[in-house]
Amino acid sequence: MEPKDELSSEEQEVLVWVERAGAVSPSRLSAQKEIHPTKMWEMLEHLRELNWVIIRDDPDSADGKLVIATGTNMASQSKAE
Amino acid sequence: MNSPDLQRRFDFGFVLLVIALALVALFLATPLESLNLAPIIPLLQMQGRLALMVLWPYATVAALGAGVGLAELSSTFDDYPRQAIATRWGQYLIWLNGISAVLAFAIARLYMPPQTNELLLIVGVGAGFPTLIRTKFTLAKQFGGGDDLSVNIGWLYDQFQNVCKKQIDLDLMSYRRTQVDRLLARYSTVQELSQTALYTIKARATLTKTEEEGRLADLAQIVDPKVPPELARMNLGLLILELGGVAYVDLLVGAKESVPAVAEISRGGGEEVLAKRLVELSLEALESLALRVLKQPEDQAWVKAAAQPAPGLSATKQKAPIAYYLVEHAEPEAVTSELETQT
Repeated sequence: MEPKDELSSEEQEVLVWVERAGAVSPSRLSAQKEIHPTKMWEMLEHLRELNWVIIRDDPDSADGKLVIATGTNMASQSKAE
Repeated sequence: MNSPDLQRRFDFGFVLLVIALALVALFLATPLESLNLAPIIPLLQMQGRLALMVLWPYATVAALGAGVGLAELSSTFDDYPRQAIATRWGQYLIWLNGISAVLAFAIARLYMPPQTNELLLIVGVGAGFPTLIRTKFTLAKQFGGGDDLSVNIGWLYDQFQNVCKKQIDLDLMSYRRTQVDRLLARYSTVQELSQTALYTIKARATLTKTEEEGRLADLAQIVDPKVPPELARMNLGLLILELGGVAYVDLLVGAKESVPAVAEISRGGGEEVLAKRLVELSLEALESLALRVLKQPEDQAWVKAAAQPAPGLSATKQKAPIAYYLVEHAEPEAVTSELETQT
């Protein structure tokens, strides 16, 4: 399954960003990508529904949330059977 | 026993053994007769050579028996072989194998005819006896299954081995916990640990695609939103330890220790604290502060847009991106100064 089949180019960009970071606060992501918070949350929810990322509580981040790459996309790209 | 010292204990013991053997070999092999030494020293050397002549078969048998014990430990605890060998019960198992092989050799030597080839006897007992005490002979096998008639020569050894295995496992459990605690002391957040775990999975060159996917699935389970942060942290630490081993944990901990505290504050740690303080402000106050600190029109435009009423978004979710934007686009000192003026 390729992300491009079901994600917008902006969502793909966000996904790549999350995968590079491994784990990041959604609000920091919004600030880094300069995307409006509402739009960022919509994109992250979409990515979560498609199992590309996990969003969980994190007492250490300013917004109390953490988005983590599931690595599914990275696994399919980095190694061959 | 102090579990954190297992690896050091193994390394120290191994080096000490090699040095001791090398010194004894050097002492026995060096011709001392021509040197002008105290008479006791050449005498001691001669006695040592004689003792070696008598004892070498026993020493060889003991080494073979102990080697079987070592192999048993290494294969049973293949993730932590050195630590398993260094535990007290691991050493009991090695000693038991070595000593029992020596006893078996002494008995065999007593009853064997004098013309028996000694080398064959050494190899036979050294390798054969450990096999014998692990063997179960089936004398009669029942039709259609059921309990066979058998003689388990290794029953006693099995019991001892089980006790050793359990005790070593307990020691290693404490050891793993200590390693995880060391890691968590330096990598305290779920974010840092998730990043490290993900990187470790990707960096493991020997994992096949299937294994990598399995590990990624493990990671996803650990950071599942339903898992409390404390438990997630512990399990992430354990995953990193399992993936990278103790040496990798040492490397990670060492890397964190070598980062100067000031540099750490000026990077992620300090930014996170500052962002948290900014989020405590009201949205209006935060917007006003950001507009005062950020001078570039595009920065101000982004902050204004982000501060617009956003139905369905909580206040924290709206304020946190502005706070992060501010700490990333402005000097921390300027933000702190404005924050202190405002509060």
